[in-house]
Amino acid sequence: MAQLSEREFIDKLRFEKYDTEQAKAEESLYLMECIVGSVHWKTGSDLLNLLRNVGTSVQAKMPWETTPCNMVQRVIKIVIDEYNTLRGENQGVEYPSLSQSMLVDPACGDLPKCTEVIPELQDRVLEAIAEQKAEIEQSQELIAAQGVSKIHNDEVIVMCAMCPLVLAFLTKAATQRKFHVIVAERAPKYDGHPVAKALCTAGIETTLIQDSAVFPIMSRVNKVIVGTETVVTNGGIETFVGAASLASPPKFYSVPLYVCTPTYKFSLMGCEEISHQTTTSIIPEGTKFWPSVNTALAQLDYVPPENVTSLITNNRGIAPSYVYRQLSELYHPTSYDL
Amino acid sequence: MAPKAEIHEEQVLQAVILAQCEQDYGDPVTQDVPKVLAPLANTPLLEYSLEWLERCGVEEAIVYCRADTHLETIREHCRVAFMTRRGDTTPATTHPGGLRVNVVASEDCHSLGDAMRDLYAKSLLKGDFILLQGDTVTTLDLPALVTEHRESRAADRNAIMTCRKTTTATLLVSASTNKLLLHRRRGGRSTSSRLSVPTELLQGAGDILAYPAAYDPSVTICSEVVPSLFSDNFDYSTLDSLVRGVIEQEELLGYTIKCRVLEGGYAGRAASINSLIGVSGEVVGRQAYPLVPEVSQTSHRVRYHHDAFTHTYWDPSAKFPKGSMVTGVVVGAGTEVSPTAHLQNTTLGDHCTLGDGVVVRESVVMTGVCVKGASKLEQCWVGDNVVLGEGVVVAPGCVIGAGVTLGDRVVLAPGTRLSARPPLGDLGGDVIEPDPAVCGVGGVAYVVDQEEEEEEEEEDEEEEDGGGGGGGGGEMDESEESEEEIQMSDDEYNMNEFQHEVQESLSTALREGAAAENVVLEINASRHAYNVSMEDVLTSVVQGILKAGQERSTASKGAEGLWPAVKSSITAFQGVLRNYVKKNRDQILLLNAVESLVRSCPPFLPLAKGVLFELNQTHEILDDEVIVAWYRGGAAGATSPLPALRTALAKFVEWLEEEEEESEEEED
Repeated sequence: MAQLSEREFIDKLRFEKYDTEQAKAEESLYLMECIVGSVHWKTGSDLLNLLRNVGTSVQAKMPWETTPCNMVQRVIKIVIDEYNTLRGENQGVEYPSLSQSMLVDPACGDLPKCTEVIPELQDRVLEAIAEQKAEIEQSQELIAAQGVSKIHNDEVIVMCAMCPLVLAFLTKAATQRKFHVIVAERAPKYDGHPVAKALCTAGIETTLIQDSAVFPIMSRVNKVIVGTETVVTNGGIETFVGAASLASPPKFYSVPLYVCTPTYKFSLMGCEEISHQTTTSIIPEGTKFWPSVNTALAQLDYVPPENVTSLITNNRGIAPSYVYRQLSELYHPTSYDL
Repeated sequence: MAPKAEIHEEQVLQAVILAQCEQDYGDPVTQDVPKVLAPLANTPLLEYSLEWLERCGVEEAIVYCRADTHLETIREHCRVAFMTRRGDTTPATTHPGGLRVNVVASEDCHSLGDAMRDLYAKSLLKGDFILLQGDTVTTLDLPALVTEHRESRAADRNAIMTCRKTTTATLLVSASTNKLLLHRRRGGRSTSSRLSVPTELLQGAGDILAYPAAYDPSVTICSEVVPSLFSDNFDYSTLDSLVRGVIEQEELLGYTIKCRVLEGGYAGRAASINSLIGVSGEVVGRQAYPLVPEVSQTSHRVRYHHDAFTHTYWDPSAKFPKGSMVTGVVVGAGTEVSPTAHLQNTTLGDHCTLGDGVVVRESVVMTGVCVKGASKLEQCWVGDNVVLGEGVVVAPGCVIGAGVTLGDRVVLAPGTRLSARPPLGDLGGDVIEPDPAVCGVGGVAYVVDQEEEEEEEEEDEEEEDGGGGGGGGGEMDESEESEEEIQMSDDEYNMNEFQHEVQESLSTALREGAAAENVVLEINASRHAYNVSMEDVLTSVVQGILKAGQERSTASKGAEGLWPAVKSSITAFQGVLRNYVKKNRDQILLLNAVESLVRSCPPFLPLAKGVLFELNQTHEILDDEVIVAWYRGGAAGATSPLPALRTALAKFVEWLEEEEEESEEEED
């Protein structure tokens, strides 16, 4: 495979060459593999700076793209961990204690000093990145496999929007369970229609409803399952527009709302920090409006953590209030601010 | 890169952006900024085209411009913009795959045809290429268009062009093959309410799609044949003339043009200030997504904060009210707007100050502008560092050039053009004091001569409805009345251009002593290019000959030498004239032409007699009877000459009549 440069990656990202978040995650890991495998760095700090540059330039140009930033922060964590382990092995010092790592001030924004030249570091980091890649590749399968344990016979489930992950989750469950899915059509994009068709072909009993009919049917529903773009720090989710109005009736009727998300979508962004790209594709082609008519179409919606029951990740199901813990496992405190 | 490039040479996708080839926006604006770098939502227009081309995977963009004062600006801009774009300083060649920008300039480029011929001569175009205007903002799916074009070329080698047409023209397109059958730009010779369709078009063709008023974003995919066609036919000056030529001579050339009316995508042309404001509104309204104002098109960084529901974009350092009084606004860095200001669909540049109660609607305000309290601006263009006093009212269509200062309570009439530079051409050498009636107390502003600009303005108007508009298919909302007007101005414009060209070729020929046949050939070429009638040609030629003489005389001896020079000019071009004057009617036309010249240009009055004498006696182009009949106002289609000319010619005609009688007597 050809080497991928940072510029090429950003251009591809900018020109929307990647269809799925998974592709973005894999490609950004591949980019970082190239950077780690290159000869432009000697010490751990050099490498960390190179990685951070990727993160900052993505953030400056496309703040709404969280997945590549997540992957950068993940690799930074890997590098720091591997560096510390190797240094510990070489010098016979203990792995830095928990209290020590807790004392790092996340606000200072400085990555830890890793000034020693450790030749093994490169191989170790590449190994860890390869592991991470494998995890991403398997994530959809692992999540789908949990379908059987989460869905029971004769349940009524509401879903919305084209999300291959949720679709895989439901079809996997359908091999052993018999249940009914209600799909909201999601105007004006109407990607609920292909979803309903896909579910039908998988042999699942399906009903298509309009978005505004979600509330009246909610009393009969057992579960709501959605996918997401990003999981933010407080456990809330940034997802397709319309999700917020889909997520409040379950709260009212005490219906659980599950979010299927791989761990690479866990972001260190606050909910208010993510800016959105919006288009005006709500307007039918060729229509001319009076200039004073203002049209806007948001692409993402924020569902607060109190409306989310559980996040189904590739590791396990976690509650929104537990997201902070997951984040501290995934990322290094000094990389919270890129 | 070299060996690889040779293998894939067919696949290198090029684009030609025509910058600065056609008319500019009126003087005050383009004095300092070339048209293609005029800001649209605080980003130069050219950036939008380049950005979209890069997105579409175009490998080389040729920015073609006229070599004038703005050339260096454009060149520098392309260079600097691309450095920031790449984020590094290494030459683009080390990064294969990106967009290379090549600025090509030429001394005399007045039309698209000239540009094409020049590019052909320089053989810069290697294969299929995308042709677009520098002032286009588009998000059309170009790769799909190019693929389609290549497919149709593979199927039929003679398909030379795929236009994305939704033109201000009437089209007939064959449904099955997408072949363009008829193309008639609005404002042609035919009356606009009726369309005559040659019956042979209807034979054989299955379905024909008619687009009564399609809209043209001037995006064309051309094959390498197109520049060579332009080169072979030196009278093709615009794409339209090429289209007409190819369709008319289909049997001869065997080329066809495919046409595609697209549904999706956005395209707008900012050909005039009004359409610039229109396109700007659409870009701010995110119709050209992903070309959106908050992302810098050069560095691709997110530069503005953005409110999706009021379509307001602002730099973090700008201070302005974010209430219901402000919608559809782009606010640059360091700009301060009073909380009581009212802004609508407006672009504010960097470091502007807007005072209390200022109302700005649908305007473009550039960098460093200061507007004091209670001023009102509507549909206008305000250049760099303009200062407007209290209570200034700027009516729609005004253009205020860079550095203008207006005093308190100045009211500008609609369509006023102001510049900070004194008008040129005054030989006195004194600094003209600005007129307080125009610019108020303590103001600095000069009205740019309206007459000079008139032609351009008409142009602007013509382009106007071509500029705005969304990406959809046919639009049919133009009223017929406006069509008529546009037709007038179009003809007039063509006529003026034609006259100018004839004048030019005659002057050159006189200087160089070219042969009559060559001059006639040249004039005929211009005639075809501008679609001018034979009568107008004759008029222009006659006037051109006389004026060419005048030019020569002023160059050499001054006013006294006028007659000999004109006489020699007539002698030199008698062959040319003979070619055009064949019937009695032509003689009348010739006389009328002389008359109208005298009317517009008094120095010719004393010469009229001499001119007629020369033509009548020495060269025998004019017959005695015709002159007499014309003089008496009797001949068919003739109008009697104006009084001054009448008196000037009285003696000559009398003498003619006498002579005639004498000769008759002799014959008897």
